[in-house]
Amino acid sequence: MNLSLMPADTDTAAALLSLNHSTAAYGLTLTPQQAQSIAVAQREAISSTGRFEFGGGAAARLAAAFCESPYINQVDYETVLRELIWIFYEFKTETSDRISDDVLIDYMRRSFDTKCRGSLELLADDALPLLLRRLNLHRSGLESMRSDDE
Amino acid sequence: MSEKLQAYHEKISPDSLSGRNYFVSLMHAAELSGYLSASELERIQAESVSILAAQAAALCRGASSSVRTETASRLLESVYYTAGLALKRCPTPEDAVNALRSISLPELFAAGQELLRKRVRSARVLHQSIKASLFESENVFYRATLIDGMEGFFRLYNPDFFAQETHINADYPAYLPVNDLTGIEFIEQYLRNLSCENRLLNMFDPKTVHSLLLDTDIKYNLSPVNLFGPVLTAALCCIVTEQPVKSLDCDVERLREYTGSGLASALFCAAAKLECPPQLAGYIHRCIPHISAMLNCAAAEGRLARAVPRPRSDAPAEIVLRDGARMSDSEYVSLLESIRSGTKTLHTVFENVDSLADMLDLLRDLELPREEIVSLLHTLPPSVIAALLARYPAAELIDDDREQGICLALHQFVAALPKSQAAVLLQAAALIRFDA
Repeated sequence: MNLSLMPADTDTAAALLSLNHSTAAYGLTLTPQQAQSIAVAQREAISSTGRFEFGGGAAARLAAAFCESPYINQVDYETVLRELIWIFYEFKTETSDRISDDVLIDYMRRSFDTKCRGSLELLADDALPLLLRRLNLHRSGLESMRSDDE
Repeated sequence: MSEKLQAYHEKISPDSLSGRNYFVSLMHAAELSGYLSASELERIQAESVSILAAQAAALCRGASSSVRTETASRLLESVYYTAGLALKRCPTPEDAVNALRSISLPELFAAGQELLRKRVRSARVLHQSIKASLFESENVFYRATLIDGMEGFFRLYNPDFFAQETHINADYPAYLPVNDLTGIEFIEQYLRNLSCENRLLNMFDPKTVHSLLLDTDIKYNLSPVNLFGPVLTAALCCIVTEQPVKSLDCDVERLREYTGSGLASALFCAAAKLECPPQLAGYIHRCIPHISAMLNCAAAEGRLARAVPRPRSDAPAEIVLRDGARMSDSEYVSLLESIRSGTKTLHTVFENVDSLADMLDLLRDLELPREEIVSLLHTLPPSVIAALLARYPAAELIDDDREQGICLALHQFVAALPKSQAAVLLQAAALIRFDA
């Protein structure tokens, strides 16, 4: 039996477009074509990272979380979002689902704006592997990790 | 029943359906026969996705909106397993297909969950009753599986999300193996079989049974071998040859007269004379064809005397070991520190340790690498190696990681010995009992 529960591309695109009114305050908006392209990227990321998505996907939540970042501008907004989606799903799998979506997005956003200074490479290659190592050390959860950061 | 279903009646053989994956095999059979229409299949598929999403969301408790596909696959297997429990209640596969057509998957799933909960409760009750009357056996696997293993199962079993998973290896083999079942169905059947076997064993003196089992395997107590089969065989053969059944000591010469086509019926008659409850009587009936075939085969090959177990009159004496006088805690800590700091070597120390318990504590607390333990074992006398083998018969029986390490090193050491030397050590270990 073939089972698939991917968020429909149109739903993802609509969710992203509905954010335009709030992200516009930071100079960031997506065209329908860009939103559709990000939706396709999300579907590919979910599939390639071997995940089953039963909610609406991470794209809109990442857009909402990252729109205030000083390191994202209108020119590369679409590209950055596509990369963030891939990184998000890869790390959900890498961390064996021991970290919640919200905590991961929060960590990604804080790292991106601070130690990574807007570099997606540093986020993927340094900050998130560091998270993984810490997660292995702090099996009891992320609360202590947060206090480490602070 | 509709005409269509009547016509379909001959198309699904119950034997063609999987016990482990009943739902999926039923769907497959129904799909192949064309009994389920494309729209019905689509409806079931859509309902499957919907339940899977709900299960995944419940598993994540709102923390995540996605799971790994492996997890999703396990969740879906559990949904089908649970719904399959409800469908298995239908008298025939045709009725099950009918239920699949007329009842929604969420309803079947809910009905299956209800059955699942009841079956977990009844399996727990059965387990408690076995525990309360567990036959006193020297076989380490018997107790380890029926007490610790089963407790482990109930501790880990997650019927809400992964109902099809069994989690434990039932190391102790039931005489009638449980095939093609998984999850609670496997455990339930396994416990039912073992409950019957335990009842029969309890009809005999543990010492007589011990003596009988030594005849089948001198180190039976350290091996995952079935205890019930030899006892039932001996008991039935006693009745057939008119020997006292409690002695488990049959007359093999007289038994020869019965071998051949008449043996099975003689064994069935003997079983009727064994006063046992109906459930056990039924279980014994299912075992007799195996026993009959085994005895006839042995008789044809001229080895009947070896095939019929009899209590050993020359059973080797048991060796009872006591831990010996242990050193004081302060002496022990000081010794441990001196080894850790290198002021004393391990090899020298063991020459001065009198108590096996102290030695085991040192081995455990020092957390030595496996190679170092193996090297140390080379310096110990065979009697100590035998005692260690008796203490650590198999790694899977040990919970403590450090003790598991000692056990693995020990068995690596023994495996590297010449076969004859290893056999002597294992035989000696089988005779050792630790005095509590």
